[in-house]
Amino acid sequence: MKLNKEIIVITLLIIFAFLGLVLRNFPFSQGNFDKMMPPVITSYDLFANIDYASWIYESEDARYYNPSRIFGIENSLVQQPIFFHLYIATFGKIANLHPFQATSFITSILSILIILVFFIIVKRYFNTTLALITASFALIPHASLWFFQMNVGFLYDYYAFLFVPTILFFILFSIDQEYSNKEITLLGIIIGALISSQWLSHFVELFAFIPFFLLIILYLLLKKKLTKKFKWSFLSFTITFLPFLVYFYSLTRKAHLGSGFLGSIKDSIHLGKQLNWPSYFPHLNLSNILLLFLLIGSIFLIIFLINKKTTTHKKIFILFIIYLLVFGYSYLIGINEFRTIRQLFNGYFLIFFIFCTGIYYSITTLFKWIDNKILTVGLILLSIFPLFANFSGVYSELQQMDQNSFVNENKWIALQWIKDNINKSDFVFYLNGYFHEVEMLAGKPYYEGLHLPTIEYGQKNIISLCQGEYPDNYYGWWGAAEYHPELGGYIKSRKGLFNFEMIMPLQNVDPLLNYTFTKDKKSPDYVPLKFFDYIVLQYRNTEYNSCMNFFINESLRRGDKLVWSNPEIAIIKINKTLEL
Amino acid sequence: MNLTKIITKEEFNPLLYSAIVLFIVSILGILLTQTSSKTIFYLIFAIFFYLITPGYFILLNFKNLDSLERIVLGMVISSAIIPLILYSINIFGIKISRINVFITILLVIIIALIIKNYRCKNKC
Repeated sequence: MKLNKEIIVITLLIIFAFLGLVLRNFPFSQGNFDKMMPPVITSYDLFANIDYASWIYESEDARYYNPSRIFGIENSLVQQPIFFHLYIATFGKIANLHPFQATSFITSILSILIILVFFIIVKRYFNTTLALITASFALIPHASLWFFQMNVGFLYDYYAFLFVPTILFFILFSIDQEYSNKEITLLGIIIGALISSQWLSHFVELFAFIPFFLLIILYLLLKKKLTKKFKWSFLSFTITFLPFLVYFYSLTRKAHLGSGFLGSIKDSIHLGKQLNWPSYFPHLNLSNILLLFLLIGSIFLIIFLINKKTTTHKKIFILFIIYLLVFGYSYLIGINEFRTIRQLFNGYFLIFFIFCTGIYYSITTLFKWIDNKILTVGLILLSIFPLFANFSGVYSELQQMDQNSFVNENKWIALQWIKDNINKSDFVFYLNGYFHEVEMLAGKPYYEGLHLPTIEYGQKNIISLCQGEYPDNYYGWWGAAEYHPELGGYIKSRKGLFNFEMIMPLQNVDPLLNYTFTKDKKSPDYVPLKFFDYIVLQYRNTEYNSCMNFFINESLRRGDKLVWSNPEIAIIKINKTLEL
Repeated sequence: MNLTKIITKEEFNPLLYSAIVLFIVSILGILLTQTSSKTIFYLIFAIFFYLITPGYFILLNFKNLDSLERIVLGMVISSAIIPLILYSINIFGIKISRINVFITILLVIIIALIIKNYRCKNKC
């Protein structure tokens, strides 16, 4: 490998990405990876992702749920795709870095890798110039990730985004080259490992991409590209993938059908000012410019096909058409908008590539006098410009988010107190929300008014508190983090491939309360506050101070005990001797 | 097993260049952040040892890839294969401890080299 300009550009790209990561963290944790505290966290599900990774990192076991996420039940087999979290935890083990910090670091590394994979595909099948331009433009949405963090449970999807283009590379690579049986067998194992990883990290995306891969194989069969030699590849692929397919599908089959395909995302409840999240996919909304250059790119590819310039153009073009068909099909079968964006991201290398092809060939055709080197540098600068142009706006948005984000010093000290002083089996209720967050950082089971339809519902309790009404019965749709009624409880043990012994949560509490927590969530219910062992109160010394003081005084009057407090947080131990 | 026979200088150089790039990044990290140099060292080591090396050695078994392709795709393959092996052994109750992660990575590297050695016995 010579140290040529291509390597220098790639190195700069990596350094640029690194700087992006540092800049994002800088105002909030001073980019300090030594801190045992997460940098600014801007979303609800990010806590869940980091929580999973932290649990694996600390317990050194990926088989079981974190008890604090499932009503305190121990050793229950996890029914979620935890592969990405396992990756973060294992990387953290070698890097000696807690998932609090390792999660954002790994996600940024993955985004760089995704871009580099695009670069490699376009470089191999077209030319270095076009590859550099594609990589530069592909940088734009990823830089959003470096500068912000994704605002939804998007992190583990991100891991899967890496595998689709890589699998495509190896499929194209396998039909292009002459191989011995040994090489083709090893190639099958590699593709099998990549698909297994995608399957374990996010099954929804693999389901959506099955037609994509099947259509590619069908095309290759029709073109008689799949020779007998490929039987070794298929065999090794099947041997690699099948055990993971069967093991994981049987474990998660209800989740696949229940919350996997048809699930939807609900917002959490925050009492703080609700912010308008920045668009994380500003360039993937098929804006007019993107559409225009996509069209031009497609036209150029068609011209290449007519002129029979190369067969690789044809391959990429056919891939793009197949991808669009699958994309359309997914939309038609009702995968909601959020999932569609996921798919768009998954295959967006094809979209970016066609887009860049459009720009590159339009300019080189219209302005033949432009030097190729100047054009390349110009287009790369053009792609980087939006990042810098956006930065000041992004920075202020980040600061605003930081002021509304969960962790500050008072909360952090309170969380450490909860972690060190409250038993794992105790029922803790966080009166003012932030359930995911507290659960992760304090490591205690939590119960919440789950899936409230609007913010107003969530605030109803606080409003009544502020009106001088003590919430003996707290209003909400109750549940715990990973409880889905359709799963029929949690897995206690595995008796066979498809045979599981289940365990239901909260068996030893009042049947009505059990029902309230575990039934299908159709309507809000009231839960007596006396059900809990501890109540954690937030928002002291804010505009809600008088409401919080009212709550504390009323609790003390009712025989409860204030066991810990600081200027922002109060922790109350409920007097359980009194009847519910 | 003679290592110099299994890995040629041309095959070894990309690893060296990657180490140089990582070194530059680590200097930037030390200069621009408050992170301790010890933490930065561990991070850089993890990127090299966990992400780059296993996949790179696996892809040495394919002659038609260039060095950059081996480094980049090797990182993707490492990101898939290492957790996959750890996930599999964890199913049988083996803990995901630091030493087990380390041994797994080392084994993948050794196995990849053994396969290359076996393939290259006659002609590479």
